[in-house]
Amino acid sequence: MVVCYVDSSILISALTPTESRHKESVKALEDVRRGGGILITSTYAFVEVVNVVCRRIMSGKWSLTEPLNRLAATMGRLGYKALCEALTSMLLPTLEQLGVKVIENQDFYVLEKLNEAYAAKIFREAVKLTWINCRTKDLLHIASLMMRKHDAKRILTIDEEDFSKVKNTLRENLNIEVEIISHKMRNNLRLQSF
Amino acid sequence: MQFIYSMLPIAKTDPNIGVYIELHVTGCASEALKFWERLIEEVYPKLKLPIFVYWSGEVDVNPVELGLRVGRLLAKMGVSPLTLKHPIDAVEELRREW
Repeated sequence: MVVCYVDSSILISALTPTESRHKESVKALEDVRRGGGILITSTYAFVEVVNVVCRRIMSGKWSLTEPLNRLAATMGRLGYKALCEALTSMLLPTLEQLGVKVIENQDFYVLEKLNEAYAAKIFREAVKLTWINCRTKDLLHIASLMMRKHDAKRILTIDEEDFSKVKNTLRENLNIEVEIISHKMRNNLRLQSF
Repeated sequence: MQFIYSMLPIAKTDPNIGVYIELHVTGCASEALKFWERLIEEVYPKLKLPIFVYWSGEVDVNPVELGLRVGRLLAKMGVSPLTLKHPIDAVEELRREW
């Protein structure tokens, strides 16, 4: 069974209808599910999504469409803390509907020795993977996937800039396939159909 | 469950959601949510239009429960809680956080 790790970029894209790759992201998630695959994400990716959403809405940089904006205003009567807690909970049923499970394992946070220091297992794994040469947040996504005991591993992302650089490295050395969802993919598919 | 409608149900149009029904009630959040959940269970399958219920009373439900229940209602209506008025680029938004 293929286990697909869904990173924060594709999560935001799939949750936001006005995101530039929204349709492609939703279709990619549907395709995995139809093919019998499992979609998972980590609490780390979920925190990234929630933080972006809450910060943008609190600052007014993101404007929810009118009926939702009114609801947010009602929730906001209780203050920013309550608004953020409510927004965080609001996202979960939609993630569930997209078929994405936020899976975390207690074992990831067991302290292990790292030379003379101690680190949670997931960070120890990330430290061991620094040779991949990618950003810390991407390293944590990869470490999270590597620690799962499944046969086939795949990452779904829309972050072309970061993941295209490490795509081959991940496939050749860690047996992880990276699928980058982009506008190009849609354009390529269109060209192929002619 | 007794409500005093502060307004009659109104059909509105939103560029991102399409036609939807708006209801304003005077009760508190817990009553309004029960009412909304019943509407989604009984009316939405026939009407097939998103229904939004707003309340003017106190918010007597904790934020986590409030968000989860509203999130479930939105999911049933196929409305994403992140339906924005404007376009965004998810990668750019995340990059600003790094």
